[in-house]
Amino acid sequence: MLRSMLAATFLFSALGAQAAQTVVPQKSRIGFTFSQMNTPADGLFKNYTAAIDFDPAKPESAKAQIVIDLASIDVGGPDGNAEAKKKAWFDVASNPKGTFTATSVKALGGGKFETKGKLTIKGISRDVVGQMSAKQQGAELILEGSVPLLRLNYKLGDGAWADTGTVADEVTVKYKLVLTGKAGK
Amino acid sequence: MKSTQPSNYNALQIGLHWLTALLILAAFILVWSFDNTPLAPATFKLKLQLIAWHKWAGITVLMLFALRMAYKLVRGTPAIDPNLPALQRKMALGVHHLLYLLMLALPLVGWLLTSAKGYPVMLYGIWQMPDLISPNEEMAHTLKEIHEWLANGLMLCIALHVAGALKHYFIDKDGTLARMLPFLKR
Ligand code: HEM
Repeated sequence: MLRSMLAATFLFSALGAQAAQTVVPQKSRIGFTFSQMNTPADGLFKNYTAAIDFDPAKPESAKAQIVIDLASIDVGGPDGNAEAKKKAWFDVASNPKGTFTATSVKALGGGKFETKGKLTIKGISRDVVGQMSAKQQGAELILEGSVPLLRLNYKLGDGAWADTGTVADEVTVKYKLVLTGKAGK
Repeated sequence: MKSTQPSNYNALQIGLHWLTALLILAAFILVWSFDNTPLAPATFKLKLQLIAWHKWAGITVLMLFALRMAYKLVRGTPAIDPNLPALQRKMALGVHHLLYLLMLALPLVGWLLTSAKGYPVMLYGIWQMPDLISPNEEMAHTLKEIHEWLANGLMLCIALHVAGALKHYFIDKDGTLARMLPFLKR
Protein backbone atom coordinates (compact mmCIF):
# COMPACT_ATOMS: atom_id res chain seq x y z
CA MET A 1 0.00 0.00 0.00
CA LEU A 2 2.68 2.44 1.06
CA ARG A 3 4.68 1.31 -1.89
CA SER A 4 1.97 1.97 -4.41
CA MET A 5 1.32 5.34 -2.84
CA LEU A 6 4.96 6.20 -3.17
CA ALA A 7 4.92 5.00 -6.75
CA ALA A 8 1.85 7.10 -7.46
CA THR A 9 3.44 10.16 -5.87
CA PHE A 10 6.55 9.59 -7.86
CA LEU A 11 4.69 9.15 -11.09
CA PHE A 12 2.70 12.25 -10.36
CA SER A 13 5.75 14.38 -9.71
CA ALA A 14 7.47 12.99 -12.79
CA LEU A 15 4.47 13.78 -14.95
CA GLY A 16 4.22 17.18 -13.31
CA ALA A 17 7.80 17.86 -14.25
CA GLN A 18 7.16 16.84 -17.80
CA ALA A 19 4.28 19.25 -17.99
CA ALA A 20 6.54 22.05 -16.78
CA GLN A 21 9.46 21.52 -19.15
CA THR A 22 9.66 19.45 -22.28
CA VAL A 23 12.68 17.95 -23.92
CA VAL A 24 13.19 18.78 -27.60
CA PRO A 25 14.22 15.37 -28.92
CA GLN A 26 15.68 16.59 -32.23
CA LYS A 27 18.18 18.76 -30.39
CA SER A 28 18.90 16.43 -27.47
CA ARG A 29 21.24 13.50 -27.27
CA ILE A 30 22.08 10.88 -24.70
CA GLY A 31 25.34 9.30 -25.67
CA PHE A 32 28.41 7.79 -24.10
CA THR A 33 32.08 7.49 -24.79
CA PHE A 34 34.06 4.37 -24.11
CA SER A 35 37.47 3.15 -25.05
CA GLN A 36 38.54 0.13 -27.04
CA MET A 37 42.24 -0.68 -26.98
CA ASN A 38 42.93 2.86 -25.80
CA THR A 39 41.04 4.35 -28.71
CA PRO A 40 37.99 6.39 -27.77
CA ALA A 41 34.66 5.52 -29.33
CA ASP A 42 31.26 7.08 -29.21
CA GLY A 43 27.77 5.60 -28.94
CA LEU A 44 24.26 6.73 -28.13
CA PHE A 45 20.76 5.73 -27.12
CA LYS A 46 18.22 6.84 -29.65
CA ASN A 47 15.10 6.42 -27.53
CA TYR A 48 14.48 7.64 -24.04
CA THR A 49 11.98 9.64 -22.10
CA ALA A 50 13.10 12.43 -19.82
CA ALA A 51 10.96 14.18 -17.25
CA ILE A 52 12.93 17.13 -16.03
CA ASP A 53 12.15 20.08 -13.86
CA PHE A 54 15.16 22.29 -13.48
CA ASP A 55 15.54 25.97 -12.73
CA PRO A 56 19.23 27.01 -12.73
CA ALA A 57 18.38 29.57 -10.03
CA LYS A 58 16.92 26.84 -7.79
CA PRO A 59 19.00 23.74 -8.36
CA GLU A 60 18.04 22.29 -4.97
CA SER A 61 14.48 21.72 -6.16
CA ALA A 62 15.52 20.02 -9.38
CA LYS A 63 13.80 16.83 -10.41
CA ALA A 64 14.84 14.51 -13.18
CA GLN A 65 13.93 11.06 -14.24
CA ILE A 66 15.31 9.63 -17.44
CA VAL A 67 14.20 6.25 -18.73
CA ILE A 68 16.37 4.86 -21.46
CA ASP A 69 15.26 2.26 -23.97
CA LEU A 70 18.42 0.17 -23.91
CA ALA A 71 17.55 -1.67 -27.12
CA SER A 72 17.94 1.65 -28.95
CA ILE A 73 21.69 1.53 -28.38
CA ASP A 74 23.87 2.49 -31.31
CA VAL A 75 27.59 1.82 -31.11
CA GLY A 76 28.25 2.53 -34.78
CA GLY A 77 27.42 -0.67 -36.63
CA PRO A 78 24.86 -3.47 -36.86
CA ASP A 79 27.17 -6.17 -35.48
CA GLY A 80 28.17 -4.14 -32.47
CA ASN A 81 24.58 -3.09 -31.84
CA ALA A 82 23.41 -6.71 -31.91
CA GLU A 83 26.19 -7.75 -29.54
CA ALA A 84 25.46 -4.90 -27.10
CA LYS A 85 21.88 -6.14 -26.65
CA LYS A 86 22.93 -9.67 -25.77
CA LYS A 87 23.00 -11.21 -22.33
CA ALA A 88 26.66 -10.43 -21.62
CA TRP A 89 26.11 -6.71 -22.20
CA PHE A 90 22.76 -4.98 -21.70
CA ASP A 91 20.63 -8.12 -21.77
CA VAL A 92 17.75 -6.10 -23.14
CA ALA A 93 15.48 -9.15 -23.29
CA SER A 94 15.35 -9.27 -19.48
CA ASN A 95 16.14 -5.62 -18.70
CA PRO A 96 14.82 -3.39 -21.47
CA LYS A 97 15.08 -0.13 -19.53
CA GLY A 98 17.80 1.79 -17.77
CA THR A 99 16.78 4.58 -15.41
CA PHE A 100 18.44 7.60 -13.95
CA THR A 101 16.81 9.45 -11.08
CA ALA A 102 18.39 12.64 -9.83
CA THR A 103 18.82 12.90 -6.08
CA SER A 104 20.50 16.29 -5.79
CA VAL A 105 21.84 19.13 -7.91
CA LYS A 106 24.28 21.60 -6.44
CA ALA A 107 25.44 24.87 -8.01
CA LEU A 108 29.21 25.13 -8.47
CA GLY A 109 29.11 28.66 -9.87
CA GLY A 110 29.58 29.91 -13.40
CA GLY A 111 26.60 27.99 -14.77
CA LYS A 112 28.09 24.67 -13.61
CA PHE A 113 26.42 22.13 -11.39
CA GLU A 114 27.22 18.93 -9.60
CA THR A 115 24.59 16.28 -10.23
CA LYS A 116 23.96 13.26 -8.08
CA GLY A 117 21.59 10.47 -8.81
CA LYS A 118 20.84 6.80 -8.96
CA LEU A 119 21.51 4.90 -12.13
CA THR A 120 19.90 1.52 -12.58
CA ILE A 121 20.95 -0.86 -15.33
CA LYS A 122 20.42 -4.64 -15.40
CA GLY A 123 18.68 -4.36 -12.05
CA ILE A 124 21.79 -2.91 -10.40
CA SER A 125 21.50 0.53 -8.82
CA ARG A 126 24.48 2.73 -8.11
CA ASP A 127 24.93 6.30 -7.00
CA VAL A 128 26.60 8.36 -9.67
CA VAL A 129 28.04 11.86 -9.57
CA GLY A 130 28.42 14.05 -12.62
CA GLN A 131 28.90 17.58 -13.82
CA MET A 132 26.47 19.66 -15.80
CA SER A 133 26.33 23.08 -17.36
CA ALA A 134 23.13 25.03 -17.96
CA LYS A 135 22.73 27.71 -20.57
CA GLN A 136 19.61 29.66 -21.40
CA GLN A 137 19.37 30.36 -25.12
CA GLY A 138 16.23 32.25 -26.00
CA ALA A 139 13.32 30.08 -24.97
CA GLU A 140 15.53 27.02 -24.60
CA LEU A 141 17.44 25.80 -21.61
CA ILE A 142 20.41 23.71 -22.68
CA LEU A 143 21.74 21.19 -20.19
CA GLU A 144 24.99 19.53 -21.08
CA GLY A 145 26.81 17.19 -18.83
CA SER A 146 28.67 14.00 -18.23
CA VAL A 147 28.55 11.19 -15.73
CA PRO A 148 31.49 8.83 -15.40
CA LEU A 149 30.81 5.24 -14.46
CA LEU A 150 32.37 1.81 -14.50
CA ARG A 151 30.71 -0.68 -16.82
CA LEU A 152 31.63 -3.71 -14.74
CA ASN A 153 29.74 -2.25 -11.76
CA TYR A 154 26.61 -2.93 -13.79
CA LYS A 155 27.84 -6.27 -15.11
CA LEU A 156 28.05 -4.79 -18.61
CA GLY A 157 30.27 -7.12 -20.57
CA ASP A 158 31.18 -9.29 -17.64
CA GLY A 159 32.59 -12.78 -17.93
CA ALA A 160 34.34 -13.34 -21.24
CA TRP A 161 34.20 -9.63 -22.11
CA ALA A 162 35.59 -8.42 -18.79
CA ASP A 163 39.11 -7.74 -20.12
CA THR A 164 39.44 -3.99 -19.60
CA GLY A 165 42.51 -3.85 -21.83
CA THR A 166 40.18 -4.47 -24.76
CA VAL A 167 37.11 -2.54 -23.63
CA ALA A 168 37.96 -0.17 -20.79
CA ASP A 169 35.96 -0.25 -17.57
CA GLU A 170 35.49 3.53 -17.64
CA VAL A 171 32.52 4.77 -19.60
CA THR A 172 31.33 8.36 -19.63
CA VAL A 173 27.71 9.15 -20.25
CA LYS A 174 27.48 12.42 -22.16
CA TYR A 175 24.19 14.16 -22.62
CA LYS A 176 22.72 17.27 -24.08
CA LEU A 177 19.14 17.99 -23.17
CA VAL A 178 17.36 20.95 -24.69
CA LEU A 179 14.33 21.99 -22.66
CA THR A 180 11.52 24.36 -23.39
CA GLY A 181 8.94 25.70 -20.99
CA LYS A 182 9.16 26.99 -17.46
CA ALA A 183 10.47 25.05 -14.51
CA GLY A 184 8.60 24.67 -11.26
CA LYS A 185 4.96 25.30 -10.53
CA MET B 1 54.28 21.31 -63.29
CA LYS B 2 57.89 21.22 -64.48
CA SER B 3 58.46 22.36 -68.03
CA THR B 4 61.20 19.80 -68.62
CA GLN B 5 60.12 16.24 -67.95
CA PRO B 6 62.64 13.79 -66.54
CA SER B 7 63.39 10.76 -68.68
CA ASN B 8 62.95 8.26 -65.84
CA TYR B 9 61.43 7.65 -62.42
CA ASN B 10 64.09 8.09 -59.76
CA ALA B 11 64.63 5.89 -56.71
CA LEU B 12 62.37 7.99 -54.48
CA GLN B 13 59.50 7.85 -56.98
CA ILE B 14 59.93 4.11 -57.47
CA GLY B 15 60.06 3.58 -53.71
CA LEU B 16 56.89 5.62 -53.12
CA HIS B 17 55.10 3.74 -55.91
CA TRP B 18 55.80 0.29 -54.51
CA LEU B 19 55.28 1.28 -50.90
CA THR B 20 51.85 2.64 -51.84
CA ALA B 21 51.06 -0.54 -53.79
CA LEU B 22 51.99 -2.66 -50.79
CA LEU B 23 49.90 -0.57 -48.40
CA ILE B 24 46.85 -0.67 -50.66
CA LEU B 25 47.16 -4.45 -50.87
CA ALA B 26 47.52 -4.57 -47.09
CA ALA B 27 44.43 -2.36 -46.63
CA PHE B 28 42.35 -4.81 -48.70
CA ILE B 29 43.66 -7.91 -46.96
CA LEU B 30 43.22 -6.36 -43.50
CA VAL B 31 39.61 -5.34 -44.06
CA TRP B 32 38.73 -8.72 -45.56
CA SER B 33 40.23 -10.43 -42.51
CA PHE B 34 38.31 -7.99 -40.31
CA ASP B 35 35.06 -8.98 -42.04
CA ASN B 36 35.85 -12.65 -41.47
CA THR B 37 36.73 -12.26 -37.80
CA PRO B 38 33.74 -12.90 -35.56
CA LEU B 39 32.67 -10.35 -32.98
CA ALA B 40 33.25 -12.68 -30.04
CA PRO B 41 35.22 -12.26 -26.82
CA ALA B 42 38.08 -14.45 -28.01
CA THR B 43 38.61 -12.62 -31.30
CA PHE B 44 37.43 -9.11 -30.50
CA LYS B 45 40.89 -7.75 -29.79
CA LEU B 46 42.15 -9.10 -33.09
CA LYS B 47 39.14 -7.63 -34.90
CA LEU B 48 39.81 -4.19 -33.40
CA GLN B 49 43.46 -4.51 -34.31
CA LEU B 50 42.70 -5.47 -37.92
CA ILE B 51 40.42 -2.49 -38.54
CA ALA B 52 42.89 -0.16 -36.81
CA TRP B 53 45.67 -1.41 -39.08
CA HIS B 54 43.36 -1.00 -42.07
CA LYS B 55 42.93 2.67 -41.15
CA TRP B 56 46.65 3.16 -40.57
CA ALA B 57 47.50 1.63 -43.94
CA GLY B 58 44.87 3.79 -45.66
CA ILE B 59 45.92 7.02 -43.96
CA THR B 60 49.53 6.26 -44.83
CA VAL B 61 48.47 5.87 -48.47
CA LEU B 62 46.92 9.33 -48.22
CA MET B 63 50.11 10.82 -46.75
CA LEU B 64 52.28 9.14 -49.38
CA PHE B 65 49.90 10.44 -52.05
CA ALA B 66 50.47 14.00 -50.82
CA LEU B 67 54.22 13.42 -50.84
CA ARG B 68 54.14 11.98 -54.36
CA MET B 69 52.07 14.86 -55.70
CA ALA B 70 54.38 17.42 -54.13
CA TYR B 71 57.42 15.66 -55.55
CA LYS B 72 55.73 15.34 -58.94
CA LEU B 73 55.38 19.13 -58.96
CA VAL B 74 59.04 19.54 -58.11
CA ARG B 75 60.67 16.91 -60.30
CA GLY B 76 57.96 15.85 -62.72
CA THR B 77 57.38 12.34 -64.01
CA PRO B 78 58.57 10.87 -67.29
CA ALA B 79 56.21 11.03 -70.27
CA ILE B 80 54.48 7.87 -71.46
CA ASP B 81 56.55 6.25 -74.23
CA PRO B 82 55.87 8.58 -77.24
CA ASN B 83 56.25 5.65 -79.68
CA LEU B 84 52.99 4.15 -78.41
CA PRO B 85 49.70 4.74 -80.27
CA ALA B 86 47.86 7.83 -79.03
CA LEU B 87 44.89 5.83 -77.72
CA GLN B 88 47.10 3.60 -75.57
CA ARG B 89 48.89 6.64 -74.17
CA LYS B 90 45.55 8.24 -73.37
CA MET B 91 44.32 5.09 -71.66
CA ALA B 92 47.48 4.71 -69.59
CA LEU B 93 47.36 8.34 -68.50
CA GLY B 94 43.64 8.12 -67.80
CA VAL B 95 44.14 5.15 -65.49
CA HIS B 96 47.04 6.94 -63.76
CA HIS B 97 44.81 9.92 -63.08
CA LEU B 98 42.00 7.72 -61.80
CA LEU B 99 44.46 5.99 -59.49
CA TYR B 100 45.63 9.33 -58.14
CA LEU B 101 42.05 10.44 -57.63
CA LEU B 102 41.19 7.25 -55.74
CA MET B 103 44.33 7.35 -53.59
CA LEU B 104 43.03 10.72 -52.42
CA ALA B 105 39.28 10.10 -52.27
CA LEU B 106 39.17 6.57 -50.85
CA PRO B 107 41.17 7.24 -47.66
CA LEU B 108 39.38 10.56 -47.19
CA VAL B 109 35.99 8.86 -47.39
CA GLY B 110 37.32 6.22 -44.98
CA TRP B 111 38.29 8.96 -42.56
CA LEU B 112 34.85 10.60 -42.93
CA LEU B 113 33.22 7.20 -42.46
CA THR B 114 35.02 6.38 -39.25
CA SER B 115 34.27 9.90 -37.92
CA ALA B 116 30.58 9.42 -38.72
CA LYS B 117 30.64 6.08 -36.91
CA GLY B 118 32.06 7.77 -33.82
CA TYR B 119 35.34 5.86 -33.99
CA PRO B 120 38.27 8.24 -34.36
CA VAL B 121 41.53 7.06 -35.86
CA MET B 122 44.35 6.56 -33.37
CA LEU B 123 47.09 6.72 -35.97
CA TYR B 124 49.83 4.13 -35.30
CA GLY B 125 48.31 3.80 -31.82
CA ILE B 126 49.77 7.13 -30.72
CA TRP B 127 48.08 10.06 -32.40
CA GLN B 128 44.35 10.62 -32.33
CA MET B 129 43.35 12.23 -35.59
CA PRO B 130 40.64 14.90 -35.54
CA ASP B 131 37.11 13.89 -36.51
CA LEU B 132 36.08 15.33 -39.85
CA ILE B 133 32.36 15.20 -39.05
CA SER B 134 30.30 14.45 -35.95
CA PRO B 135 28.75 11.00 -35.39
CA ASN B 136 25.74 10.37 -37.60
CA GLU B 137 24.37 6.92 -38.27
CA GLU B 138 22.74 7.61 -41.64
CA MET B 139 25.77 9.49 -42.88
CA ALA B 140 27.99 6.61 -41.76
CA HIS B 141 25.86 4.19 -43.76
CA THR B 142 26.04 6.29 -46.93
CA LEU B 143 29.77 6.86 -46.54
CA LYS B 144 30.36 3.15 -46.07
CA GLU B 145 28.55 2.52 -49.35
CA ILE B 146 30.68 5.17 -51.10
CA HIS B 147 33.85 3.77 -49.53
CA GLU B 148 32.96 0.33 -50.82
CA TRP B 149 32.28 1.61 -54.34
CA LEU B 150 35.48 3.59 -54.46
CA ALA B 151 37.37 0.53 -53.21
CA ASN B 152 35.80 -1.54 -56.01
CA GLY B 153 36.77 1.20 -58.45
CA LEU B 154 40.32 1.18 -57.14
CA MET B 155 40.51 -2.57 -57.53
CA LEU B 156 39.33 -2.24 -61.14
CA CYS B 157 41.87 0.50 -61.89
CA ILE B 158 44.67 -1.51 -60.33
CA ALA B 159 43.65 -4.50 -62.45
CA LEU B 160 43.78 -2.36 -65.62
CA HIS B 161 47.07 -0.80 -64.54
CA VAL B 162 48.67 -4.19 -63.87
CA ALA B 163 47.23 -5.69 -67.05
CA GLY B 164 48.75 -2.81 -69.04
CA ALA B 165 52.14 -3.25 -67.39
CA LEU B 166 52.13 -6.99 -68.07
CA LYS B 167 51.04 -6.45 -71.68
CA HIS B 168 54.06 -4.17 -72.21
CA TYR B 169 56.39 -6.67 -70.64
CA PHE B 170 55.16 -9.93 -72.17
CA ILE B 171 53.47 -8.91 -75.44
CA ASP B 172 55.09 -5.65 -76.56
CA LYS B 173 58.36 -6.59 -74.87
CA ASP B 174 59.16 -2.89 -74.38
CA GLY B 175 60.83 -1.07 -71.48
CA THR B 176 57.69 0.27 -69.79
CA LEU B 177 57.61 -2.06 -66.79
CA ALA B 178 61.37 -1.68 -66.29
CA ARG B 179 60.81 2.03 -65.63
CA MET B 180 59.18 1.03 -62.34
CA LEU B 181 61.25 -2.15 -61.87
CA PRO B 182 64.77 -1.20 -63.02
CA PHE B 183 66.15 -4.71 -62.46
CA LEU B 184 63.99 -5.86 -65.41
CA LYS B 185 65.93 -3.67 -67.84
CA ARG B 186 67.06 -5.70 -70.81
C1 HEM C 1 44.02 2.57 -49.63
C2 HEM C 1 43.07 2.91 -48.87
C3 HEM C 1 41.85 2.07 -48.52
C4 HEM C 1 41.33 0.97 -49.13
C5 HEM C 1 41.84 0.24 -50.37
C6 HEM C 1 40.15 0.58 -48.39
C7 HEM C 1 39.33 -0.49 -48.70
C8 HEM C 1 38.24 -0.88 -47.96
C9 HEM C 1 37.35 -1.97 -48.29
C10 HEM C 1 37.49 -2.88 -49.49
C11 HEM C 1 36.41 -2.06 -47.31
C12 HEM C 1 35.26 -3.04 -47.21
C13 HEM C 1 34.06 -2.41 -47.81
C14 HEM C 1 32.84 -3.19 -47.49
O1 HEM C 1 32.72 -4.30 -47.98
O2 HEM C 1 32.01 -2.65 -46.76
C15 HEM C 1 36.68 -1.02 -46.35
C16 HEM C 1 35.95 -0.79 -45.20
C17 HEM C 1 36.25 0.17 -44.26
N1 HEM C 1 37.29 1.08 -44.32
FE1 HEM C 1 38.62 1.27 -45.80
N2 HEM C 1 39.99 1.44 -47.32
C18 HEM C 1 41.01 2.36 -47.35
C19 HEM C 1 41.23 3.39 -46.48
C20 HEM C 1 40.55 3.59 -45.29
C21 HEM C 1 40.83 4.62 -44.33
C22 HEM C 1 41.94 5.64 -44.44
C23 HEM C 1 39.93 4.47 -43.30
C24 HEM C 1 39.75 5.26 -42.03
C25 HEM C 1 40.55 6.15 -41.56
C26 HEM C 1 39.09 3.35 -43.63
C27 HEM C 1 38.07 2.89 -42.84
C28 HEM C 1 37.23 1.85 -43.17
C29 HEM C 1 36.13 1.42 -42.34
C30 HEM C 1 35.71 2.00 -40.99
C31 HEM C 1 35.51 0.37 -43.03
C32 HEM C 1 34.24 -0.37 -42.61
C33 HEM C 1 34.52 -1.51 -41.76
C34 HEM C 1 33.21 -2.08 -41.27
O3 HEM C 1 32.71 -1.58 -40.27
O4 HEM C 1 32.70 -2.99 -41.91
N3 HEM C 1 39.49 2.85 -44.84
N4 HEM C 1 37.81 -0.31 -46.76
